[in-house]
Amino acid sequence: MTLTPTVLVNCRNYLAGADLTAFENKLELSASVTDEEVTTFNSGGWKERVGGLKEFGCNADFFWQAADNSMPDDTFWGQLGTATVPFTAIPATGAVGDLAYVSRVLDAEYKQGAPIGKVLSGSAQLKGNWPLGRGLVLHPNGTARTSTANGTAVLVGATLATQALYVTLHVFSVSGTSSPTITVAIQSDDNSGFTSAATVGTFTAATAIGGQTMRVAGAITDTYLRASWTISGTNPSFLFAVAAAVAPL
Amino acid sequence: MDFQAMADGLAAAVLAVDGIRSCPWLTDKIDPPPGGGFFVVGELEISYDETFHRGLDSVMVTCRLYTSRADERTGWATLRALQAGSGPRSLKAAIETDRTLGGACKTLIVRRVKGDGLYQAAGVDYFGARYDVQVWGAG
Repeated sequence: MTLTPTVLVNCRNYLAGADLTAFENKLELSASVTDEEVTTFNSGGWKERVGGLKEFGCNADFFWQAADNSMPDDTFWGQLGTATVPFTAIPATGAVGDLAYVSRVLDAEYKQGAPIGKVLSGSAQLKGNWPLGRGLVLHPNGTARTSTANGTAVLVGATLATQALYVTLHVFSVSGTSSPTITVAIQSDDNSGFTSAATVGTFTAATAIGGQTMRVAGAITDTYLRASWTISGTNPSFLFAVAAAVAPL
Repeated sequence: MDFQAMADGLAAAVLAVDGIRSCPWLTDKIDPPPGGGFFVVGELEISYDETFHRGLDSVMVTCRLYTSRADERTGWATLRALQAGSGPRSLKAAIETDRTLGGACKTLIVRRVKGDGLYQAAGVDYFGARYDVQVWGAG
């Protein structure tokens, strides 16, 4: 085995309708399990433990900017106290198939400030409000979509009856006239050619910057997933990202 | 960030101060007008990757201000006047009037002036000082 270290200069963090990547310079994801002791006289003189409740959190440091829901101040302040904020963290460039951590979070803390002459900065603390899923990117940010189409097939794996498929949708920009609208569905199949696609779930139609989450209880025997989108309006254009993960129900 | 465009922007910004000539690169062809100064955009110290995904770089630009030594009292007085933090003869104020330098960067701050003293360029002595200008721009 050889080590290939990762110098973290490229990672993506999506929160609601904001791609915070170019504003952030620190992102820390932590997951933990409570330590529940079950030592008995039969334990042979050694402590015994089981894992109890799990939780996760995310701390982010960023440079401050405000304007609209694509900006960190609007996002962290606007979502403060909201416990269902769509959350995706990707320790890579965010291309289709990249590893992605998926969940929804409570926007629990937001700090901002700087000494005189320094760049105004902020930090935020997010706390998990769902299982943290370790999955894959189904649709990347940065590719504008202007018409109805299907995305790339991604091998995510099956979802057992004791699990659920967790999916996040982040819509980063919307343009066009005559009410531009995008409806994103998640399709599954047992083959990468999607010869017999089934719809796993469909997000609410989006007409503005924002985010959504979806949880679909297993079992889902298909192992391939893809994002499929329907776009309407005049000269519509959308930037969005989708990520999916399998985690305990 | 286009570093030459940034340097051009700094050299252009100081021209708003009466009696200033400038050069957007390190030069020894120094030519301060009588009672004025010559501003040179010099070395860059670039810090890449201030945010993820090449979102932001920062640059510490070392600039130099030269005044004539032909008349020592006038030369020093001019240097001191141009070092003001505000007012019509302030280089700091002139540079910070448009912190984006016409779109060449995202923001900047003139942090400090230091190194007051005698400088020599092409065999000629001048009074001078060094400016530290911190600039942030797209990665």
